[in-house]
Amino acid sequence: MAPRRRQVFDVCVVGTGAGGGVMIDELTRAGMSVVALERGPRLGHADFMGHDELSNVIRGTGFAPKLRETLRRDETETAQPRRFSMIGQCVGGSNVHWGAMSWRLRPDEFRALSQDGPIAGASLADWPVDAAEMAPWYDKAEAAYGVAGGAVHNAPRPGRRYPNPPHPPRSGSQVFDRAVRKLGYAPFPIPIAVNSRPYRNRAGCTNSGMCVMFGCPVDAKASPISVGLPRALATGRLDLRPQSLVHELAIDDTGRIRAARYLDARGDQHEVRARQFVLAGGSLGSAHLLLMSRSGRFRDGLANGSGLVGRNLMYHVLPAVYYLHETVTRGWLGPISGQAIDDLHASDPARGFVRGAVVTEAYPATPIVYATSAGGLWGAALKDYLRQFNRVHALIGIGEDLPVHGNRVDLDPTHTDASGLPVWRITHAHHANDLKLKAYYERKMTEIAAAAGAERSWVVDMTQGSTGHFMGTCRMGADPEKSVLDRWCRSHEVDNLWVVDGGCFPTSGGYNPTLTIVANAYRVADHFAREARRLNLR
Amino acid sequence: MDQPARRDFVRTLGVCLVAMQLPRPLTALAAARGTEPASLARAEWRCVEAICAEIIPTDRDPGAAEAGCANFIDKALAAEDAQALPLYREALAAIDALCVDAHGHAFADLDGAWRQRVLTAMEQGTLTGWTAQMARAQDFFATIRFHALLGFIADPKYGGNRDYAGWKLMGFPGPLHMVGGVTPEQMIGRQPVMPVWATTANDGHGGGHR
Repeated sequence: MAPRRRQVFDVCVVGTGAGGGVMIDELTRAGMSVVALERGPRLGHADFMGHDELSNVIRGTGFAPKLRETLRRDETETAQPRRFSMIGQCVGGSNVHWGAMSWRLRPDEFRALSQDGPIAGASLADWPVDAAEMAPWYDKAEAAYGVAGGAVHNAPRPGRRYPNPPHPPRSGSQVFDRAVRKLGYAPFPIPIAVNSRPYRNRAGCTNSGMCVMFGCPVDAKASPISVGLPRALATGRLDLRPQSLVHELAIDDTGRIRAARYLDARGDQHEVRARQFVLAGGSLGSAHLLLMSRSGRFRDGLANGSGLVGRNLMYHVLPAVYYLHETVTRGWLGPISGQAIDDLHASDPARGFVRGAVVTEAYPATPIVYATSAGGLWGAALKDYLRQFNRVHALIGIGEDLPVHGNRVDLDPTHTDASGLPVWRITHAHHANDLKLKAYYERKMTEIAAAAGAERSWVVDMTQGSTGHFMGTCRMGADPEKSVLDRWCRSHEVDNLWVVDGGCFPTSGGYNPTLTIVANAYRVADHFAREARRLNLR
Repeated sequence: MDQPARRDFVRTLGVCLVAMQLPRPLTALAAARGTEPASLARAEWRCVEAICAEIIPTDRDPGAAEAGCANFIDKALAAEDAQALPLYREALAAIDALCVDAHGHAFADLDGAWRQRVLTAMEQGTLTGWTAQMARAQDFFATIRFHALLGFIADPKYGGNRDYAGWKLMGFPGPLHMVGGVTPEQMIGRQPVMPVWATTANDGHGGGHR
């Protein structure tokens, strides 16, 4: 048998989150040998039982202890080290600690440019795929992830139900339900990829809370570690290598990728060879790796002839309103779930901005998350604020933010990580349209709070906090000058390079992005396997 | 310095530099060894305890003093937050020195009204006699305020939230995975939820007991 370092795998997948998990699962199932390189450790149920808010939300030691990054608003500033990204760097990626809200995009969200025309200061684009092409892959993603809910939202044909029924309601949901009905809106259960009953060898949720920002100790929450990776490992064709930090994709004389170079937990250098390379490190991680992979042929980073690698970084704008009500919420029980309305979503320039948002319940479900909304309160006022935890109801909008050329991730010129590699630098300022959208939804959510009979309500500004919804940086499109990837998430320039994560999104859509990442990965994996069978992949 | 930049600074100093350190002994391990000071000198501990008691006062319910926020901070400064220890040392010395100058007593020996006046001046950046170089008074205040809050409501295994004082105040029952889950009747409020302190030993959660 050939020694391990000589082996040439069919496929090397870098990153094991929502996109990589699907690719690994589908390609091993199709008979290919896959090596998966994951920078973080492989966590398990015992780790998730031991996690708490201090480790996961505040210190990041639970999911991303080695994360280093810098942040600035524009090119004139010097980026400062700061913990900003709520991402998971472990086997399963951010999909392990996600909130599990699982939405299909609306048809118009695949063609924002056609619908709303060019917008000054934004780089709006249509997706190279539409809702009709995505529909069967959404079906597949919802089935694999066991999404719980009522009628499938944004399904092309009415009548389709999610594979699992909705989760039982919490007391706070009744308050939301009455309020929005009074205003003429139509509430419905948020579709959520947490089992509401035992499903496909995974347990049902025990409603124990501590869900978003936590791993699931019973595998009721869908992610690669509960869905795709166990199957892939069972094929015997997956070589899963945790704690393998890929820092360079090395090319051969013809400009194809020859090998991935990575550092193991001890900092020792390794190289793994494969015929095809799938990047799935997330919008930040994948762009970061391409930009680190410079060579004579690719001076500005691999596959970056367009100059767009890292650009058009989006992460949603999140209008939020909290309100105090006599009814205890019990928001700390169950998965995140709850009710949503989507009556205010459709883009309407008459509102003074374009694009839109879904509006959902989103309780501050754990003590520290709630307490961080207390601003600078101290003394008796802080204590009273803490006492109100169980009666504070919350609304959040997932606002579609516009892609902006100057919003980007690149290599920080001074800061390095523990291995001496340049950290990623985020340069981001919201487009004026984002802030108008935010203000509009804050007004609408304040109306809902009033209709609920709130004792008082207040806006919570989430633009100062952190986010996990990273999208863009490797947009797909038909034109190699205006996009990084083609419609199959394959590089226009390097024929054995694919990027299958949120990076391919040309625009962000007004919903949590993960189900679209998963569905798109199924679409790409199907094409990939067909091309392999036709011997079109070398 | 403008407002957002200052917030970033505070966040960096108080919480996030922590995450940039190489692995260190966990706060939880330090806390498990006992409640003797692990990083702060006695006088520093008293000052921290007195500041925390103003940030989360004791009223009809327990506050920072009963919850052991000073113990949480002491253990954190011995572990994940070690980078902030020099800042604490310098700032606490500055506070006690200026209190002695102005009132003849260390901060912890002032009465409540004077303590609140000093902290208000710190918060607003109007405190006279601040000699610390590593941070402005308002930045140190924001740091210790946030640490006190964490000490009050973080998992008890880190040395604060003693007897679940913070969670009881908030009406939070604790992590319920290890106590058997929750029924739909409990989610809607028709039946009560048994909090973790009624069902488990009071030695904290997770890694601490299995």
